[in-house]
Amino acid sequence: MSLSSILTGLTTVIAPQCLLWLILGVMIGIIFGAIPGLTAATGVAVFTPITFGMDFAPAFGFLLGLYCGGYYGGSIPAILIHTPGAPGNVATALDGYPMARQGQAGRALSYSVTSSWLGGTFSSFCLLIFANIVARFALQFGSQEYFSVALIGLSCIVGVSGDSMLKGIISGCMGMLLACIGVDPMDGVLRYTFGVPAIMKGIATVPALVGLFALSEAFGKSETTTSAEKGITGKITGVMPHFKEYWENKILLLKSAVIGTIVGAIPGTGPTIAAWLSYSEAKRCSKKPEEFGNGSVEGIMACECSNNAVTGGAIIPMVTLGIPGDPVTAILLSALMIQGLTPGPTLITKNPDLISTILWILLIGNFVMLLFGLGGAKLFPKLLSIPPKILFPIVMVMCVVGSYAVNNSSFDMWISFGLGIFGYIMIKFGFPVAPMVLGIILGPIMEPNFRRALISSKMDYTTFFTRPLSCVFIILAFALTFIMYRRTHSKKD
Amino acid sequence: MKKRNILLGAAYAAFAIVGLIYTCSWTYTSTTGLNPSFWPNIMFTMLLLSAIAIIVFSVLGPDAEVSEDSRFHWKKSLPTIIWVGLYTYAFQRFGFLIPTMVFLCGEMFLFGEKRWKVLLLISILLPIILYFLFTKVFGIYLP
Amino acid sequence: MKKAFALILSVLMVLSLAACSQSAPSGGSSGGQSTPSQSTPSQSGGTDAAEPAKVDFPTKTITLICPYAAGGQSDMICRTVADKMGELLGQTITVVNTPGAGGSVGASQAAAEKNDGYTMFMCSAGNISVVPYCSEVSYTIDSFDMIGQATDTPFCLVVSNDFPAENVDEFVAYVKEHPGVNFGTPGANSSQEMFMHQMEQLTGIEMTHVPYGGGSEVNAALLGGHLEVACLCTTDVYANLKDGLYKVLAVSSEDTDPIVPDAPTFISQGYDLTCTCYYSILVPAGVEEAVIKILRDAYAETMATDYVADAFKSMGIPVSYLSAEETSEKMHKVTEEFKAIIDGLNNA
Repeated sequence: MSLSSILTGLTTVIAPQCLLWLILGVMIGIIFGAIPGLTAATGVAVFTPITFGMDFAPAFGFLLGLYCGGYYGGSIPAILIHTPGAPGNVATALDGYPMARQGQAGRALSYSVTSSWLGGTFSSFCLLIFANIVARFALQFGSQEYFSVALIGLSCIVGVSGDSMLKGIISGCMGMLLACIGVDPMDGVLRYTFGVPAIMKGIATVPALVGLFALSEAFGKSETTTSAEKGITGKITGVMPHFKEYWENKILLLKSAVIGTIVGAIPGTGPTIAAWLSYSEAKRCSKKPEEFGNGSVEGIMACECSNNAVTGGAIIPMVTLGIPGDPVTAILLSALMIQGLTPGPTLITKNPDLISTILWILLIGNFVMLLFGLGGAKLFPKLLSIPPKILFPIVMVMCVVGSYAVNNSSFDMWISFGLGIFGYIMIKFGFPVAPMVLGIILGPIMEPNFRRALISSKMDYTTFFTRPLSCVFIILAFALTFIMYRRTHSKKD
Repeated sequence: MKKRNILLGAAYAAFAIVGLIYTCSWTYTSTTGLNPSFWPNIMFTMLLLSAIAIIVFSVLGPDAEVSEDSRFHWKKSLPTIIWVGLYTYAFQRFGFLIPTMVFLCGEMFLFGEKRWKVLLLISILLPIILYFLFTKVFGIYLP
Repeated sequence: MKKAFALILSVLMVLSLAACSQSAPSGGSSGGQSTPSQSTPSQSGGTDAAEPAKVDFPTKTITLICPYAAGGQSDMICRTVADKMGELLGQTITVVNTPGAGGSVGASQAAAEKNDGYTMFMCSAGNISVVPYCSEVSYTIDSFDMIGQATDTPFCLVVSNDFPAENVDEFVAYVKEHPGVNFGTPGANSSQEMFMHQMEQLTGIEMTHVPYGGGSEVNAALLGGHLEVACLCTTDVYANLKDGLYKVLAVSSEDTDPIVPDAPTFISQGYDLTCTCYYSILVPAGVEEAVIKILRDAYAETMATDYVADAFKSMGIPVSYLSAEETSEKMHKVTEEFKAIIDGLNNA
């Protein structure tokens, strides 16, 4: 990559037209991310057709802006109303919401956007420097490795189960079972559909998330809210980021960013897994693990940093191999082809300016996101000053509409509703809902890959251990579980 | 607390047993790999074991008070739950706009908003704004 | 507080800007191109001959059900067709994505819709010709009337670069020596899987099917060396093929396919295997004759425009319009073939 092509990229991107589209993209992205039910993927999908007639730079400025903004936007409702806007922000809700309840919504939002910015920027540079290495590493992942990585993800259950690990395991199993509903991914057989066509497509992640987190919270609120209850007002402080705080957590941030970038580059995964892995890693090596779940700054940082680091990572296999790294890049891939560019190993060598344009778009896009986010950190907490008696009915409407709009499916609304009641009851009984979401997300990765690995190896169960990478992951998963368990339980004695 | 844990443990155990029996009744057999029932069966088994463990630990362990947060107040939450259910049904049946207006109005009333001006203003304006935003700006279809 | 208002106001302004700009490109680009296409219907032979009865159609928004997720290739096809066809009919056509279960969720829903012509459905070979015969769904091919075919893509037999075969003969010989070689497809019950079974039955070889979750996952497995043999659509293959990352032994079209011009066909190598994955526009069965005629004519005209040609070309797919009768004939033929394969598998 020569300096001149980097400069060419910069001049392309700071052209007013491109910059305008980029800013617009980030804004729309944040809105899409923030509305429960709508995600960055929905946003990019909906707006891709309008880039048909546009040049490359504005088109991708717009779409990549949407992408970055969307992954960050989900943390806003996660922090403010305990409703992750997208699956990747679930872990943020665990710590952000307690902070908001302590009247520190502004600070939490500021941590979230600054970490997002750091993660996004880091991964953009990775895209520039390590694209080929990361892509080659990501290709090492066969079915066995997918399974073992998901196993590491599963070990997070210990970290988010609170008092009772058994209850966490039960929730996790329920999630996995819910994920089994529908067409069996390997044999195409119907499972648990009971002859109803609508159930065939199974439990979609986003409606489940909306139900388990948002609706259950709203149902719970309906018990305690009184007509006299005022919104949370008070001064919004701590919005401006302090360099020192981030410097103190430099290792944490770096680790999260690396995890995010690599997970992003592995096809078929995405921000959710990245965020969970970083979250549990942050908890594992934290000096104050007991703060996690009660408003830990480190938790927010780790989760949001890796969540947005996924963006740059996911673009790596897209441009180098033509294989999307996460759901959004799958759509970006077709946008790339509409621009007349054929993704593949020769894409970069043939279009050296392309990658530097993408780099600048990501850098500037992330910066715009930071500005909006910090501005918003002053503004968004004002939402909480709306009295709950008005706020929560509106949240409920958004939940129902959002879960309908993901797939235009009324069945999805009923999923949300059903899981909302289920979540409401489970929370009362002290069952954490986060492991259930983890199960719903990891189930569709673990099961087919487990079975696929066995088919390809002619039913040889040792295949998970004879492949070095997979073996390392499995050992890591067990070690993590063990360490986390000891850390959580030794504190009490 | 003890009673509740045992109750729920038993409920989960029963669910897992029903699930196991149902899943084992599948006849499909895969020629090359694991059967489709393999994975759910593992999950049901784990569920069953954990549920039994919860029951055992609760029986043996000390009892704790049920905290105020985790008591049910059905009188207050049930109307909301039913109202949301009705709304979901109406949404499916009659589309977005009118049901949303009715729902918002009713739900805010349930939550204790009694000023009719506020009620009407929000429940009429908000659905229209949302409808415009989704269908016109975002290009997402709403019925 | 003032600041807040200013910000909200500016957000609203930008959003309305987005709304305007969203409609602008499609209107602008299609406005210029609609003129040359005006002549198509009258040329396409006697379409303006005596209509059975004048009907006022369409008078409201038409829905086009796309059974796959937004943003994918099928979705792009739908949106391109919907844009242009809606313009020609003078009504908006809304694309509604109902993804799930390889498209059969959307198909079930479409089959259950009212047959007044206001609901259309884009099917693919998998959900019409395969799924009804190996899964319990509430529709068959007879639940629909055809409007026309949009595109079809042939299948490629893909092997990794170090696989010891350069053509189908060598491939068959190798698999006969090493039975149970794994082959990947984009999913269980996909038309790709059926095609591979067809090949197995024709040549008497035995392989192990490894279903993946979509074409890009198969590509990743091939490039990572986790898979040696796969069956993919030409559209999934051509970018990597061009860069020489794997070999295509044969393609299932009748003549050489323009997307993969270097790959020989099965026929040219002496194997009678022709099959394509079709994408067609359908309506629920029993739509009034006059209404369906309006739709078919508008569709024929749509597919002849440069707008569609350009959009399809940039996606790397051919415009292969077929009239309703031809579409129906082809779909029934493919369905019969696949049904025979499934019966063969079940009896084995």
